[in-house]
Amino acid sequence: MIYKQIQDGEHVHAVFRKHWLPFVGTLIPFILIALLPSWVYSYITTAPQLETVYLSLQGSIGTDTLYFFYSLFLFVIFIATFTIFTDFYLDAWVLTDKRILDIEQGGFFNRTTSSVMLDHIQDVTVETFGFFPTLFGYGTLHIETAGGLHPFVIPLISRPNEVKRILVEFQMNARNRNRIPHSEPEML
Amino acid sequence: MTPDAIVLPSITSPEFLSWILIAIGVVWIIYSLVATYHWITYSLSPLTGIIALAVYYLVSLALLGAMISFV
Repeated sequence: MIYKQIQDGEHVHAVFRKHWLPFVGTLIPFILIALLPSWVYSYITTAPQLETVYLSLQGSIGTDTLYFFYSLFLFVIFIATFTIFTDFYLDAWVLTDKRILDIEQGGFFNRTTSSVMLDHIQDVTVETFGFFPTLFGYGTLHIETAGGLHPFVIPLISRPNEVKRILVEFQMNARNRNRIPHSEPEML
Repeated sequence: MTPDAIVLPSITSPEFLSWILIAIGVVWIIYSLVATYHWITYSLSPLTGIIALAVYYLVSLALLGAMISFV
């Protein structure tokens, strides 16, 4: 479980995920490819000019073998789709009271977890680019950190402006907590 | 003396399809073990992990069953 990575005294406040729309967009070609053989087959069986093709196909291969290979084809597509879903769903960003954890799942054998302390955050930028991101409210969040060579990027996140607001609020709280209390200089 | 010709099974023969089925079965077992491990270990919510795995096993077993019935 990811919560094993949460330190003692650290509390999880929110979990952010990617928006569902880009995932559905990735699925559409798979669905079309899965349906294509059945469309071709139904066209061959119904079109009178292709009757000889249908008869030769049935005579040489057989309907059961065709169905076997179609089931195999659907099986391969389903496995590919499930792998993409795993990649999509197991990607998450966990906000605690001390840091933000980035969990990146790239297939089954590639998993990266990184984190940024909230008081190291310098700037948070929201990028919403394109028709669908604007319409459905998702975008990319760029988090600039102190001393960080590369910005911390959260792509395709749902409600990025709200996430930014929460992040900035938590960043201010973390900075206030870590600030050394100001004391008046002593008069000598 | 000429050596006996090697006769490869036809692509439509039940013997050939059975070999494909065995290969697919082995790959499916390995993939399922890896997928189950990942969803149980890394899913943030156990319920979602169980639902995702249930759907995975249901659909993949149905497709494997369909393949077996057509051999």
